[in-house]
Amino acid sequence: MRTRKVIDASTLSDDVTLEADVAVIGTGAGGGFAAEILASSGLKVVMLEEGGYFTNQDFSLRESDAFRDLYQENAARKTKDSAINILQGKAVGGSTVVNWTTSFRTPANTLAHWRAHWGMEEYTPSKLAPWFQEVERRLDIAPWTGDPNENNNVVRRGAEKLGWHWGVIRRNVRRCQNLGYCGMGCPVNAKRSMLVTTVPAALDLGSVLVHRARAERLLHRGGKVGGLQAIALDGEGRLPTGKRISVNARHFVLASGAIGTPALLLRSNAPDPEDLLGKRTFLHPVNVSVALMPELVEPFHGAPQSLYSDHFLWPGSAGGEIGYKLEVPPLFPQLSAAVMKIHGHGHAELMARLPHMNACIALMRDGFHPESIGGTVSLHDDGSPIIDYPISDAMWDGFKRAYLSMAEMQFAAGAEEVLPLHTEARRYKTWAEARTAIQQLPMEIFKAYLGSAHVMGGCPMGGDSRTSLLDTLGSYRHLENLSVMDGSVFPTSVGANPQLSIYCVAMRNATALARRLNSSSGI
Amino acid sequence: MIDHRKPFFPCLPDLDRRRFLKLGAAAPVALSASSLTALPFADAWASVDIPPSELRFLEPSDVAILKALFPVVLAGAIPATFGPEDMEGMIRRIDGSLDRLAPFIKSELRLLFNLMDMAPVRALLARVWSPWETATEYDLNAFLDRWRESSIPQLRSAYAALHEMIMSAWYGEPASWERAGYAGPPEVDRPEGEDPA
Repeated sequence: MRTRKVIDASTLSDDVTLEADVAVIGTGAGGGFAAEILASSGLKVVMLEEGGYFTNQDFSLRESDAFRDLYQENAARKTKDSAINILQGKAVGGSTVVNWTTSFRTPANTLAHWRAHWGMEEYTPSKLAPWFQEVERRLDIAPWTGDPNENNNVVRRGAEKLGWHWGVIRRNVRRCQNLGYCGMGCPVNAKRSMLVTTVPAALDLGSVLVHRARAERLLHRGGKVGGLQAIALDGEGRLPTGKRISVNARHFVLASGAIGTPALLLRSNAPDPEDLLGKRTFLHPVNVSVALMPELVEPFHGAPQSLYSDHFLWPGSAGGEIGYKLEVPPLFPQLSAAVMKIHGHGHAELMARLPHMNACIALMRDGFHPESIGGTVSLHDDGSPIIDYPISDAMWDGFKRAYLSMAEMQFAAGAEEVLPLHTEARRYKTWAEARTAIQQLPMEIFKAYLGSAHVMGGCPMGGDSRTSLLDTLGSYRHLENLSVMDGSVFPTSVGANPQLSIYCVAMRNATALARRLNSSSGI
Repeated sequence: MIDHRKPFFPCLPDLDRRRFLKLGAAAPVALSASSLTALPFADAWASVDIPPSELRFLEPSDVAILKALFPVVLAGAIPATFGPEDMEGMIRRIDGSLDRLAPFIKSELRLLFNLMDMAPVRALLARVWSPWETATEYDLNAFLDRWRESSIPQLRSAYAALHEMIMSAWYGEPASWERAGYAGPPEVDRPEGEDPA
């Protein structure tokens, strides 16, 4: 194994210029696979990453440290009106370092919708199956065979009693010790994130990684990208050091996530004749219901997500009323305390019952219903991104139904009390009481607590140049040597935790790109 | 509505209650301070004074607001032994967390703190009539409830922001975990390289 070429941009004492066949901007789910595949085809790859390079030796397993080092904006990234809190990764390996390992293939209904409405003819389950199989092999993705923790068991008990669908989640783990700290960086490297798979593989193939380097803009002229300018950040990733990194390459792959990629393209004044860039950005917005269970739950122990219910995901046609996926989040003190919007003794008393607490989340399948047009990424004065995400009546209707579903499931699973996370909700003792009360809850921002951990869209693929910025291989239509391979390529939300969809599409499209670059002149 | 003023002790398990009473008896401040008097921590934390040059986001007037709100937001959670050094650490952690937020959020928080520091705004919007430093627990609770339940989204948003910064700072710290029944992260063998143990 050759010595890995890793540059910590915070330590640069001079500006640097790097030459490569391909520059990959971002090292998360999309960038990791793109880099490895391009490098393994013989191309010289430079990877750029805004975050720091932390390994399993660094992860303290404390929320406060993880939020500081591994998450965008201290895990408190917000939409423009601050109504939705966005959990998004920021480190070498991107969000895959901190996600909860949940791995769903893109739902067949979603693919059918993309084919019918977005011209993505080749995106069929059977044509994608070989790519999914390859990713699943590479990342050890398999159904969780251990016992679900009690937090997840609430889904099974409730769904079974009510006759609802439930299923076992597949996870990208190898020799998982069932610790429960996926969200703070896996200390035993059981999670097969990009940090321990594709990124080191690309390095071992001779790629260069520059971290603590924020991509500022693409320089383009005449429909072609000539270079990328990035700035070095200090060791905390806080302030520019004043040093610059320039990358010259034949081809550029953007993989900065569905906020970072549109923002970089906007800063670069990338051609966008149909005004699509940053529009239709989706979040799988989530509302939350907390339950107090008679048995010990210890929602901070064990695989964070192992069971789910799709009973309400496709209530009618794909474009009909908004459906939602039911899952549970792990509950550690810091984030749990912050999302329960009460204070004083009532809050303290709830926190003292954390070991008996279950929480359910409902992930809204946004981008299918005609009213669900998602949010818009734009730029602040200083070039930093802002995502504006108005909530439509159709989505509020979904949240209301989801509060009901979650409470019903939690009571069916034996909950003693259920508290929807809404400032006008109370702790309800029975399903009948909860049902009546939830019907009356006003659906308004900062009353309903809302979050998101999945950012998608804003630079969509599609078959029609009037409604898509990328062709179905992820090539940017208006700049010939630019591709996008991350969550921003999806024309709607995925309707399931997106990591496996991003891996699959990145692998497929990077393989096609590698073939194209290797067959063209200049190599 | 949740009653923030209900007695604290009955909801604690026996062991915790005994320990808490013991701590309270030993502490220099009286836990039984009436909610109509100044806050129990006000005197103890008066010495918390961080040079502005050591703070990245917070200003001295913000620190005064946080010191006033901290024991009210966390009533029933922080021990009476929570001293000035502990509080100083909290302020520094809040400062670091706020510094990492997006520029547009920081602009809004700066505006919020500046407004809260203006006496007319404090009186009219928060209905806290005395300076933050001398406000009573009753007034501060009423203020928090009013903003939390306001019909004006911006005030609910402000409540959410103040709540998040204080809750995150306290419950991110090991000192808070025992009461939340959380033993903290396990000791594990950490393999070198990229393969699992």
